[in-house]
Amino acid sequence: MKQVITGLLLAVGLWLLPGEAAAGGINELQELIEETPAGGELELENKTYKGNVVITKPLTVKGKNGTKVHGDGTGNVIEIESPDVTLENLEIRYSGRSRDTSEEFAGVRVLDQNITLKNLDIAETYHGIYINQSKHIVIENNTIVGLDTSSLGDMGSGIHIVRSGDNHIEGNFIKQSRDGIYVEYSDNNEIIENTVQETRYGLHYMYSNFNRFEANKFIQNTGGAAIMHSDNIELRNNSFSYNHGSRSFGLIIQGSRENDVIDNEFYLNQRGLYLEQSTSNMIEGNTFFKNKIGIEVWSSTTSHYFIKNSFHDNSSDVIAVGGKSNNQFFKNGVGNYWNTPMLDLDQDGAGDREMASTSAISQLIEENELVYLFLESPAMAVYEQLNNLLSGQQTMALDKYPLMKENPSANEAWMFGGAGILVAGIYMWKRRRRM
Amino acid sequence: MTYLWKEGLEQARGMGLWIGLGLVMLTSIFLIAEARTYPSELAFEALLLSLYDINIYLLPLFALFITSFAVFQEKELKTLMILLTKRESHLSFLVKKSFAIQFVVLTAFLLAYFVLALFMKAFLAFHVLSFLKFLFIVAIFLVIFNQLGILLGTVCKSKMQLVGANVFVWFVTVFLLDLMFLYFLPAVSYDNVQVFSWFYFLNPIHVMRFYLETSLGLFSMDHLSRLLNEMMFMDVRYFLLINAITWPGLFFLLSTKFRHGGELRD
Repeated sequence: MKQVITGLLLAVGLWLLPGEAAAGGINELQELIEETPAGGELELENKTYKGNVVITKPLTVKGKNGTKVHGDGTGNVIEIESPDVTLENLEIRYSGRSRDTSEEFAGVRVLDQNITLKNLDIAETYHGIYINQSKHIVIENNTIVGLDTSSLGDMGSGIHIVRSGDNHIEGNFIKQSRDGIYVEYSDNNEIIENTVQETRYGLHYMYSNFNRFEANKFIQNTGGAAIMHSDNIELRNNSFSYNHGSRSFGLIIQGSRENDVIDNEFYLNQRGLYLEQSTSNMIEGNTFFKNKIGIEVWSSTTSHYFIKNSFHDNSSDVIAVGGKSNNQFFKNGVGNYWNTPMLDLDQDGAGDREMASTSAISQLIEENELVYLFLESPAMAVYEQLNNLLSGQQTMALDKYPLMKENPSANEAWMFGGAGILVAGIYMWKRRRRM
Repeated sequence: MTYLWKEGLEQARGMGLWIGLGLVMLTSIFLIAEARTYPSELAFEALLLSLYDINIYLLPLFALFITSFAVFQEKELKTLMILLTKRESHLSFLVKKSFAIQFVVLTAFLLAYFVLALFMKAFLAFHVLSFLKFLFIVAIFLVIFNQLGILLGTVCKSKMQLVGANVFVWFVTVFLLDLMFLYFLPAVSYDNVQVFSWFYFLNPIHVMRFYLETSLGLFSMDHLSRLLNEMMFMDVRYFLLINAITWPGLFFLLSTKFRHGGELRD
């Protein structure tokens, strides 16, 4: 009888214990973290560890090639609740995805300062990295691949930064998330040399000031970068390309002021730069090449300067929608490069006559967004010419000092040669056949 | 087979096809040169779309002229009369002639693009699947406009009429239809956008560009606006299929219907 009661108690006790403990003790990685002294370094082996761990003391966790941390799909895979923590060389998978919880889960959730996250490979998580109310976070050379579901709500951000400043984000590759890098109420962040592709917005600033982003690449997103209600941001040497869709753009600046957009490349976007409800931004030295619309400026945008920008082969270089506003396409005798034949008889580097970029499609754009389907149509040129004849053209941009092309390119002389040889070859061949 | 051989020889000895091929190759080479400056990620796909955009001008024009004159010459040189009095019905003549013209013109242009592929491969990251999609679109494009040319060649009664008809049809399809669309655009709303969608996508130039853009990854179908989402009520591939079958079929039927156009009955 005694044995039966003991056996029953043992069975009930085992049943009451959490599954993992019953299966062989508490989480191994959590145990290793607890065993490592504060400020110590934990080197993980080349194997898969169970996730949903919490780091509560300064620590460096390093993995080897093939070190994996897999969550159980119910929470954060790694949560950092201590300052001075470094994570390196880890493959992180399977955070919780439910939105019916008190928080949005992530591969790595950072809740304290002075954290370094390097060489992490994160996928199958809601957010890749989530930083909340922290400072001095370094995020370098990580690869983050989102869930790529059809519903936007089911996807999180690659890197999600909320109320956190002075962070350095460099050399990361992010794709297929909702927003590549989302920054909210966070100032003084540096975002450098990241590549973001196939997201909704590659970079999304909300209410964040004094940030710098430089030499980033935004490819094939619905929108390359969105700066909304954020001031004093410097964008330099970034590349926005192949952002195509019915509402796509390379860069949107909305409700923001005193931002510098300098020396960026806008290639083959639906709209290169889209400006709305913004004031006093400087757009300088950028290249707009083969976009359907180079710059789309809504009348709610005021006091902008556009200088030294170069426009090539866009279906429309500049479209001003909603009426006139007081933006200037020149400053101190310096305008933009329009890629239009001009005379410079006084050789001052500026065209002898002012350059007026005109178009009649701004009215159409205001009335119906489907006009974007026709921007590449041969009929568009006829439409513009007809309106020109009938005085329906409106001035989109007036540049009083249009710049002459600096260095006419060699224009692929060898290609001309090749084409010439081809034509001559066909001609000779035909002659020989006749003879 | 006789028709095929005859058509091949006639086209090879004529100037039209060679001028067409030469111009297409020449413009394509310039575009390849330009594409080398594109950002590398999708440079090849962007080039293919640029090639398509230039093809909108060139291919319809050459397809119309080459094929319509091929048919018209049968009437002008009286070979049609000889064929019809001997062993052919007009229907069998049209079937064989259409097949021969389609085969010769398609082969010539597709071969030209294979030659251009060498340039593309040499200077850009060549993606076979994207290239095959482009060739597929070029083939459908040519089939439609070849058949339209055959119709014009059948219907027109003189060379002057034929030249005028070709230029008129080219201008209407390439310029005028879209111009009409632009003036009607303000009237398009959420309620009638599906009707607009039918008109828009039954224009082969639009449907083929849209298919290329989306299938090459140059136009995202994610996060569409409500209006555009409603417009895309049917997969663009179905529209493409409808175009590829309907237009050549319709033009062929019209050719049989108006087969006496210009035929001399003395």
